[in-house]
Amino acid sequence: MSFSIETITLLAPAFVAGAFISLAHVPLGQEVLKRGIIFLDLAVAQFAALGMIAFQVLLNIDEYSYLGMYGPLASGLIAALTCAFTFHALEKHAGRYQEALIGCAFVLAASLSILLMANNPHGGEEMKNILAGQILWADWSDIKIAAPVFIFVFAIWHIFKDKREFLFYPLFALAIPFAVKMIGIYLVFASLIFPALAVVKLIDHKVLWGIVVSLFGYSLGLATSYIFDWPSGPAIVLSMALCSFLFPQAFNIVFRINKATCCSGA
Amino acid sequence: MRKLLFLIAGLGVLLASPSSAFARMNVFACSPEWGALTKEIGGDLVDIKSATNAKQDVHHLRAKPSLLAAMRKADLVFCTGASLEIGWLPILIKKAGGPNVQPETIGWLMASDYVEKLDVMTEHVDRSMGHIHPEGNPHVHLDPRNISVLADIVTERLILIDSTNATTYQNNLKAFQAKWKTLIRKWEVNAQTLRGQKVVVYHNAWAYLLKWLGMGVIASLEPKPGIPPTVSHLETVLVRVQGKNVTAILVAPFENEKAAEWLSGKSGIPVVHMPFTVGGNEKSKDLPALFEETILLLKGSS
Repeated sequence: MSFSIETITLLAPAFVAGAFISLAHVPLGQEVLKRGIIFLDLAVAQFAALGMIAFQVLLNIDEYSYLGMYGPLASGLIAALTCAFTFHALEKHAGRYQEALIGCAFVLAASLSILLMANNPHGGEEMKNILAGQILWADWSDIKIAAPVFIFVFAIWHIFKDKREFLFYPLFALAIPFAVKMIGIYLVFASLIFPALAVVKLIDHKVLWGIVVSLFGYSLGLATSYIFDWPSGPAIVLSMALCSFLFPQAFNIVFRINKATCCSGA
Repeated sequence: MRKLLFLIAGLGVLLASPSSAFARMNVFACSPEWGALTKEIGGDLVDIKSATNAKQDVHHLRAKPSLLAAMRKADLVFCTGASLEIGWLPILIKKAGGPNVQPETIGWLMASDYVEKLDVMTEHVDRSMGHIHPEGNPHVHLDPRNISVLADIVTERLILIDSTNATTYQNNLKAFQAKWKTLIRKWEVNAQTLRGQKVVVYHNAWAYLLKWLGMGVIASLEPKPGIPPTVSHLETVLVRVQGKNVTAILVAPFENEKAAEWLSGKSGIPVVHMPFTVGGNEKSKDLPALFEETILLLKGSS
């Protein structure tokens, strides 16, 4: 396949979705890493998915009505918020068992989702969609709904720096359902954790560099997915890993060169 | 990082190269049988992209860039319809389809709109009944008489889209219909012995074939359409087939054969791996070969 303007327009919504998701998820991912609750995002993402599935399965509403389109998202949001607030409340009591509880919550939510889907003819496929995502199906109309949410999360996180202790869980629960719906659980996890790990050794501008890594990940992933015609979600996860691995080395090289030229006289 | 830069530079070069332009018509087929039929009529004048191959279930599809690209340049979208592709076609059309292939336009051809459908639901339908298509059974392609109807329809569409080659399309259609008529007659004679025989199916995807050949279905391995076989359901199927002289368990290439093998082991009824569509096995290279193979396999098991 060759690249053309057509290609760009095909892949553009997916990339823009990735860019907005990076905006909100890179700073949140760094906080997740700092707090050492890595599985929280998997748990919250799975709860969001469970909320969406429960709405669709239990209420059986026409997918193409307004309620059918936005109801699952609302239900996923409620489930994610419930999950996040529960763990926020538990944080003080559970102590070092917090991570274990989060892991259990993830497994429970995942199993419940499977049980709910057992009688759905598209069950297996929808489960896969929720995990691996269908980022290529992301549409400008989806982005129009989700982008303000990600900008809001990013803005609040940076404006109210002193309230982060309290803000972290609700913002997290707000961002994740929108992201899961568009790109799937695996890619949400990747967008949170890989860029955060890539910049863990940096001192300044961690968020900025994290977003750079994430954008590289999305671009390279979409390009390889196009060239080899792979499903885009998994391809981006792999390229995100690659970019996060390469970033510290590249940064080191550049940093050392700078030091050699600029500061050799000092 | 350097490698990355090289890659980016490489991508830049690729971007700069102009996309290849064909004067040929681009046809997006959801499944191989519609691609094969269009090829019979369009010959070298059409470029066919089939969204699925014979080993994939057209109910489900992963979003891949090639699908978007193929839909973007499609002049004709030829699918089954009747909700068969509802999980992905509407979103793909909305996202990548040009104005000439939107629903209800010349470039939008749904095979099931043009043939009489079986199992049409007149009563209330909901999700609890499994993967029911309220518009009727969508697997219309395995009745060769439906293929004949659609050959006319697709020719009509090809001519409407590309009138300069109208004569070629008409000639190809004439040749195809003459050949097809003889073949149907031959198959019907050949399949005389199959009349009245009963089979077990995995999914109700064989209704049109079996009705054409005068055969019957005694049970489906799926408890409800689209729901994978369960132990308790398989046990009721086993009871139902005993002493009924069932000749085969039909399985399509994309269906899980484990349940069929379990039933075969308990009942002695052979599992028959049917091609289901063009490319479904090595010999089923085109539509005539597909039906040839299908009848051969059915007769082999009886």
